[in-house]
Amino acid sequence: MKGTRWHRLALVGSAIALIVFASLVGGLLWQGLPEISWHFLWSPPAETGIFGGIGPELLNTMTMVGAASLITVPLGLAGAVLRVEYGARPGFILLFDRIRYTFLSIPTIVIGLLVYQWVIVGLGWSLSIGTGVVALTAMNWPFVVDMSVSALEGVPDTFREASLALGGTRYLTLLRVVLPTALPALVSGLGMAMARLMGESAALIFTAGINVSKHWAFSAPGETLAVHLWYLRTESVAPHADAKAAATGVVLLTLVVLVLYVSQKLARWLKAVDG
Amino acid sequence: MNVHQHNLRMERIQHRIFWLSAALLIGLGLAIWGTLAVGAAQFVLHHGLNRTLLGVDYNPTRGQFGLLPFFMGSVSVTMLALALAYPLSLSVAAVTVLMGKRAWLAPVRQGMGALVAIPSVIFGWWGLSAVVPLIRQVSGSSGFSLLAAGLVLALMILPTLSLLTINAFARVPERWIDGSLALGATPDQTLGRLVLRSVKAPLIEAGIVAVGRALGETMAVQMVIGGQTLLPHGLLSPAATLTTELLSDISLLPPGVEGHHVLDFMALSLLLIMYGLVLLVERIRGRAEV
Amino acid sequence: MRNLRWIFLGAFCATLGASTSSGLATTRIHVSIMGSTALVPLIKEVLPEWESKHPLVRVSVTGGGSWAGLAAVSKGQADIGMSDIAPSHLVATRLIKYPLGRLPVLFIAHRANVPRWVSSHSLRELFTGRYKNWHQAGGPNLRVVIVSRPLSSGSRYVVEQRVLLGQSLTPHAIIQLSNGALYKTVLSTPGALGYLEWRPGLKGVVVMAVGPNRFANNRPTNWPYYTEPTLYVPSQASALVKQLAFWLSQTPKREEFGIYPVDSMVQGHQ
Repeated sequence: MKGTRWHRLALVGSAIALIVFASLVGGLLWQGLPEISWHFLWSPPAETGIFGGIGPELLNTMTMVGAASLITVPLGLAGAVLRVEYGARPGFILLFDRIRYTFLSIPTIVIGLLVYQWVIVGLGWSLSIGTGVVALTAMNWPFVVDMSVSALEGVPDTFREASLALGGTRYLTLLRVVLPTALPALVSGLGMAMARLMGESAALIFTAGINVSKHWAFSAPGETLAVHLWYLRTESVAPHADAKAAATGVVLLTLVVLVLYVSQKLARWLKAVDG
Repeated sequence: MNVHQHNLRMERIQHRIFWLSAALLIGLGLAIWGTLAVGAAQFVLHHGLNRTLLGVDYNPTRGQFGLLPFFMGSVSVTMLALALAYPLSLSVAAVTVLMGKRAWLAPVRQGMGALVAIPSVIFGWWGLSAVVPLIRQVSGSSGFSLLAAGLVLALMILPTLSLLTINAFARVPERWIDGSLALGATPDQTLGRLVLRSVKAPLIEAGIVAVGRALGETMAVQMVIGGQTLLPHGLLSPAATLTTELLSDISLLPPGVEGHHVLDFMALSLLLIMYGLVLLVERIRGRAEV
Repeated sequence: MRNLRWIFLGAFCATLGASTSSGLATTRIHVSIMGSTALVPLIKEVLPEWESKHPLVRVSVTGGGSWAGLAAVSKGQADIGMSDIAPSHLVATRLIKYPLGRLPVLFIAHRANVPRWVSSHSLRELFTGRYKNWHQAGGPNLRVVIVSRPLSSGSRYVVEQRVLLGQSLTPHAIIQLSNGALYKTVLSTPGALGYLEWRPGLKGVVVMAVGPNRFANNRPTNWPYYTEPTLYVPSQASALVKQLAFWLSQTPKREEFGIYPVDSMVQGHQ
């Protein structure tokens, strides 16, 4: 067929993208899968010997991401509701939008630097899960606002008009009409946010530390999976560190995919229930 | 008290809560700007702008704060990543939207969504175990280089970029494309003269979003770039970016140590660039809507 | 059906909350250690043993380098600072030292095509960047790639003081943030030369002999290039912190990580 040269090039380009990603994921699985066992998933890491695992890191990752989501979801949702449902003076909205977009694009290492200055030096907190949660919260907040805004904007105006016409107050409209309709989008957005937090490392190295404590606590150091992967691949001289790094990567990736999958399934189910 | 009164009171309370949380976000945002600006101002007062923004010698323990190498590093790595990833993402979009069936769109988007969420350390891991050795073998240099960082970043922003270009392409009504083909335009002409032109603004916006993502990335770049604080003189030379230098110098210059404010200055520069990108997107959106 | 949905959402939040609330219960003692990355693996390895004897204490470890450790401990940002270098007089005010011993600093090179011996003069020229090719140091025609640690590193300081006699290391070096990363870089880069703190079991790289000195695994004490990793604690610190620092500095695992005790060294107060 004539005039399809660019299309053929596009096919080649897509094939390249596909191959590179397949090699990335495939390489990770190839190197990491043989290392994974129940023992690896449960036991604490070790510097000597070959028996180190990632148990505490797994727990830390889930706790810190969970706590940060728990804090940011109400805060972010409330901010988004004001932005979309209540309206404000245009100047306020412009300020709000500019701040949240800039905030959203702040490099996470800068968040780490600021949390270090404010919380560790300023408030005297220690390198801990708690401080790490603060960093993740600061990172996640604008993201939650962003995804809430687009979820709320996805609700058709006719729904609101119908509710208001029937005598509902704005608050009732929000609670009974807008939020339930937006819920599926909110849930899948939350899944994206959690996946993003799980992979974070730059903001955590100097706020949550690079080790785990024998006793788990909010004030205990909180190395996460992503930080552990970085530590293993660069810092550690432990035997099998490379294979362990790949295995940690496999676990991290599995967790991320799982969170995305569950949140999307949940969103679809909620939509079905609603309809 | 009747139900209506109760509802009205709830209304007021709710409104206040929403307002408060929005104000809190703005407050935190301003606090970030403020902290960095105060720190950066102290730095500028102490060292001046000429020797820092345009300086090429960086050695904080000897009081040399030339930051040009890091700006150059950040800019060149980002541009390299964009130049590599953009054509690929356009091809992905062309293949899925124009050549494939519309039914493919949803699964491809979902797959891309999953790839977007791949943690950056995993890209760093891939860079260390695949890209750096490859560059070393091909070129005979150490492998830690701008090129390696650019390749790793290109791969990292590719899913984001593809997702956005796919969304942009999907905005073109199918009827237009069918019409163009029916009028005798070749598929290539349809792509170049109809699709690409009608979604120019979203495509530019996608590029800007990707630039923001690449510029802010730390870990994946740090693992492969080599950390050299000199002005890079070629694609194969090691370098450092604003973010990687922040990472390695937070420990050298903790708060309270002489020279710590150079970190604030670097962070503020990054923030200003990001703010510039936000304004740029705003303008493009505004124009597209008119 | 509407109720069902909210119940589901509630359950979702509850699972998130349940995992977080358990940790907030009681107040506990927290100790933070920061500094030299050479000591991080050792500390990470032996800490669990100490923690299991002290159920109320949580200890966090961060690297960052020797300078960072000293700065953090003197500013009260960390309880214990790990450092390979002696603090300057400004910082040293009222710090108690807990020396661990001596840790050899080795000069390692990629296996292929480099000499196994250099004179101390050649080593200096190599590290300052004046020799750009291995043939200048008696090796084959191969470009020299210097791999170094960042400025915050204590071993870099020792190299600049003891080997380079106060000169700066070449800026044309690849910077790696830790011993492990540096080792892996030298291991895989032809022509690479770097320095790192020894750890028994070091494999796959050439350990350079310098001048008359040859490093032997079984007699590390003869090697003249070493750091003296030390834990620093503010004198007003609690007894518990001092006890931890002392315990860490005396751990028998030190030798597994390349640190050998020095007989004449008595733990002293400054």
